[in-house]
Amino acid sequence: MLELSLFVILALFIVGGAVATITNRQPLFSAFGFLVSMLAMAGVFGLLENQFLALAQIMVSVGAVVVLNILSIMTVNAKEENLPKELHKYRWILLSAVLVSPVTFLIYKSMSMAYQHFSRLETVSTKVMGERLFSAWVLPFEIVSILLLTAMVGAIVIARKKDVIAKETR
Amino acid sequence: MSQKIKTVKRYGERFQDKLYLPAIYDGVKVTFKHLFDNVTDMNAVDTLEYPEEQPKDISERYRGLHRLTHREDGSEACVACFMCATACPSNCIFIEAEEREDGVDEKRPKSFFIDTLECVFCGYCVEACPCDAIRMDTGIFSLTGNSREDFVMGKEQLLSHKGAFGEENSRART
Amino acid sequence: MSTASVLVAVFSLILGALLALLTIPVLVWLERRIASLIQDRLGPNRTNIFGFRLGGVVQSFADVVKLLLKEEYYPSHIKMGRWLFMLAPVITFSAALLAFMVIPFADTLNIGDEALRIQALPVDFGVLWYLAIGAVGVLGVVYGGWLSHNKYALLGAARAGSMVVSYELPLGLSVLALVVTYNTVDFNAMVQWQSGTFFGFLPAWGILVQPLGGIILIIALFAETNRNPFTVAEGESEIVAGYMTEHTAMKFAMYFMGEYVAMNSASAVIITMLFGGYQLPWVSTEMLLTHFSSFALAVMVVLPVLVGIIIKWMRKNNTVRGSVSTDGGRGFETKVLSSALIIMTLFIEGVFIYLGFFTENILANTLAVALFQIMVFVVKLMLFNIFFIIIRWTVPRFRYDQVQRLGWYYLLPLALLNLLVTAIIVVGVSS
Repeated sequence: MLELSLFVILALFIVGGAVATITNRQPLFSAFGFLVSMLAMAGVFGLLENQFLALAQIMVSVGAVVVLNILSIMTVNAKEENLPKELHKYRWILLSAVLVSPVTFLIYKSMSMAYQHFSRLETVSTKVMGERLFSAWVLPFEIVSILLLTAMVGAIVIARKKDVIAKETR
Repeated sequence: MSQKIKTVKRYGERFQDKLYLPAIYDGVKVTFKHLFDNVTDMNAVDTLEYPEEQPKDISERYRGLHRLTHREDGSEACVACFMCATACPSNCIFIEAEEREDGVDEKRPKSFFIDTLECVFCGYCVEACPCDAIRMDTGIFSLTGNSREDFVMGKEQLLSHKGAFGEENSRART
Repeated sequence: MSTASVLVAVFSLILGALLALLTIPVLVWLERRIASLIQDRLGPNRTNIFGFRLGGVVQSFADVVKLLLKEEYYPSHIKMGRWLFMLAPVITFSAALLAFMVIPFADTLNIGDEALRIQALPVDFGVLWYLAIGAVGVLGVVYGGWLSHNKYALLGAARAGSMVVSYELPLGLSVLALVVTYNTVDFNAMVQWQSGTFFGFLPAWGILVQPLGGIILIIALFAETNRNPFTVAEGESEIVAGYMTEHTAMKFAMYFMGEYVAMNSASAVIITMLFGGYQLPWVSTEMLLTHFSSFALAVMVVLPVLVGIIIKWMRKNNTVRGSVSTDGGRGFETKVLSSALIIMTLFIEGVFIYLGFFTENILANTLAVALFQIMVFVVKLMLFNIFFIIIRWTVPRFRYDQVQRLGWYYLLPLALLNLLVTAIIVVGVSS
């Protein structure tokens, strides 16, 4: 009973945060909605007794949202009048929801069959996760780290390009 | 014309300076010494615990609250010449003159108001007075009152203030 | 859920909440008093309740009353997002408060066959929790500054946000090096690891085992809590009050308190990871329990000496110079406090005599040792808060580009190097 009520509250936050993310004009309010959604999802992970995922989710999402906020304040710095007008916003959202609904229906149908394929989840502690990650799943781990490295290098190149071009044209 | 060139020594190039931690340690030594000395003997801290301890450095030239001086026979020395009111940069002295009957002098002030809320305590009125009638040597530095009217001081009040330094009576009008 | 576990859980929760919240007025008072004593002046010492001045702590309560009764005011130029404007300080305050809740105050009690943790949140992944929740606090700063619709607030918020984000990297890396050394993410196990000796005679404290990592951790924690010399967020002479400019009354109080709670949790983390937590050097919990009578004797000797020093200091210094009354103006307070201290000392002496020499009750011994460890933790916490305060009033503020250069050019490579060397040594020693 307690778990059910907690889950309902967290699910409301997830859905509410997601709706806030897509309907707000200001980028910072969208980021806040995203953050609320991610924190509630971390709570759901905690309900499933997976400590490591919950904390990793909080770390990653909070860090990402903070950097996103600072970036949009310092670099983009869109004023109120420069934001896009977004006419008939809610009609477009409703139309896209209707178009995506077959996929939603399929996912919902598959849920009742999917969990039969999941193994019984034992309590996953950080230690177990660490051992598994470095023994059986080490190849995906390394691929993900290479992906992150390319993302970082790309970000640095994009951020530096203006300086280099400015120097060359002087 | 030859110029004297002074070379300023630059600091911050050695490894200890770049590390910054030895500098912090030196700073903390000074700070901690002050802290320790003051905590072990709090009575020696250089703070005046007002109002139990009054300031000890009120000198003769301190410009405190104004007072009007007396002659030898007890009347006021002021002859209402309006020099102080003219010299005052804040226009806070208000005088009304009247004739003096007893032949000691020609005029006396009927009313003499100083608005001490406007006064900047510059002392120009003391320098301007030819009769040594107004002085600022009472040594009173703290004025209190409950309303703005309490700070407008009249002739009787100004005559009643006692001087802390200098002579009691006027030296120019006896 | 036996009664012992419920009692211990409730007690730890109350202790954690008290330690986090009641230290706020004490820290405000300590900051003002120590700042003034360093600068050769006396701090707040006039507010009192019926003559009890308590060194000026009552001033903090007066501040709290003032902030509570102030008018809640929203500037009229803030049109959008007033709910988030009010929520931002709450985010900062609650994040700082939650981050404190996983610090162990004493060793786990082994009552019967259960192991009961003395932490407000009895979890065993303390380090991860602190890293995760400690990062949430900067969101309140960024949102509060941006929504203020004010150039200076925006500047302060952007600077604070980017500084905190850039110092999370050296913080995480040095914490990681410490986790590799201690081989656990549990704060309690870390403290237990530090109870041995290192190279024979040194206590195995984190600061001696990992000097470089410890220094990087301390510097990064100074930056995370926006504490001098890293106060780029509210450089008081540069950008008015930075991100806090438009927040008045209770919102400002939340930011103000949140800063002190964050300083408190940073001190707690530094003690737990680097300075042996709730333990005295060289002495572990089992040693205290097995040699309980000698421990009781040591406490019975040391406690009256300490109390005597405190009473002598109070008699000499708790006076008003130049006062017209004969006892110096605060004699009543000195007498009451001295008698309270003496009664408390006698009570503790009685308890320890009874426990040390007349009974062999293991449960009572365990509880006494746990209370002693809580006392040691509180004393160490206050010492480290005083260290934070002394550094604030010693070192001048860093410029913003100096802060970023320090974080990215110097601390990040050093932290990586530290992690590499630590990993090599740990693998080499354990194989």
